[in-house]
Amino acid sequence: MLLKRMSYVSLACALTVALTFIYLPTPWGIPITGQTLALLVTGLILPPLDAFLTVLLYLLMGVIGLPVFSGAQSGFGVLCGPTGGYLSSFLLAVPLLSWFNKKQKPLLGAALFTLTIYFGGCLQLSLVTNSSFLKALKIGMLPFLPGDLLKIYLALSSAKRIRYALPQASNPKQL
Amino acid sequence: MAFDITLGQYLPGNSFMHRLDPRTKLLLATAVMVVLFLVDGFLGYLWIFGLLLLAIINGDIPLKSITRGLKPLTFIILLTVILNIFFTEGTILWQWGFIKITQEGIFKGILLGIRLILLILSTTVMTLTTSPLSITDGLEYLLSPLKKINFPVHELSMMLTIALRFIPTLLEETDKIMKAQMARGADFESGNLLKRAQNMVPLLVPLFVSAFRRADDLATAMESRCYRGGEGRTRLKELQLEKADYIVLGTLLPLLTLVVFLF
Repeated sequence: MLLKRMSYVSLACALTVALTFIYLPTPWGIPITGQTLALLVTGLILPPLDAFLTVLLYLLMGVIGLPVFSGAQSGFGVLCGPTGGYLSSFLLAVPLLSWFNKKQKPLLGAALFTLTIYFGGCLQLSLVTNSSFLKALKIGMLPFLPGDLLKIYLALSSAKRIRYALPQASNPKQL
Repeated sequence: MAFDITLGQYLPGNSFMHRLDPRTKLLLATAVMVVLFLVDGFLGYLWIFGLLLLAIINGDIPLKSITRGLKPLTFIILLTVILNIFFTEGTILWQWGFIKITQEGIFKGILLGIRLILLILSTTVMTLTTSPLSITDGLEYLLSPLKKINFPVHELSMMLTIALRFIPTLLEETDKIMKAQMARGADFESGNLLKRAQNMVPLLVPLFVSAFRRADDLATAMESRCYRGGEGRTRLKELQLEKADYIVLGTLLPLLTLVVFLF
């Protein structure tokens, strides 16, 4: 069922790009983009390896210069830049979520997903901008926390319904 | 809720830059990025800026497209510059409390800012003159040595192409689903944040379900057309390196190496 897995991964990746372009303005200034939301749902639906491939594909698209990262950024420079840590930690975070979801612990998975991204993101932010890790946490985590909690809530409640409407997707053996 | 669609930046044209093989452009863009990380001085950056300027003029790229590529990064660039100006140790020029500006800080801040701008410019120039499909084609050729270690290069580039093909479709679908749900009384515009987030569920669920159904259909369609991966597959258009590609690669790659060693 290689073809089915290929097309599921491609469409999940396309959705991630599409949702990255959609954002919800918030009162505190930093818009909530659909990027992590799409990846959360992907992690909750696809098996770990396919979830990993989705992220790899998404990052690859960005690296070769297609403007798929938030704010229509692209290029290897973004991955090496101040905010690149958030992107590269997706590679670990999404399969992790998928794995815990398979073990029937989606909430723990989502928590680890968020923590992994914050840790990787803030670490690179502090390294690239030459500031302390604590300061990076202050600009790189606190403003995003409320939005991310909302996204986890949204993703968990949608994923259940998506799986319900799509019985074959919840069964990785059939993929 | 808002849409911000800038994908499809590609500006069709027939300049020298446009006609270069995508592999040449991919290699050069990568080389420029590597050089930018190795070079640490204004003179080296000036060389790269000169090269990019040549490409921009030749590709007939309007200034507006370039600034559009840089705009989303203004904040990050400013943040990097400011953080470096204020938090680098060195000869103090001005001090107020714990805030101090140092000579080294100003130098480093501006240098990093220029590096970021050039990094973005190098990829922007490539995407503006190369269609996304030829970029994935070029990538498949460049990565093909990895097939030796059983890395699924063809499958990966096929998935890239499929994803690219479906991004506009899914964006359109999002819009359609939003309107359909609004016609049924869904409210995406008002209420507090929690309420608004909750209202996203009727958008997200059909969006994902329809995307995965499309994936199902696509797999069936490919299977019934006997698609079975990269082995022995032929193409309608083979990429061909022209004389111009050899000349460009032959002059620019040594030049970039020289820039690394000199600066």
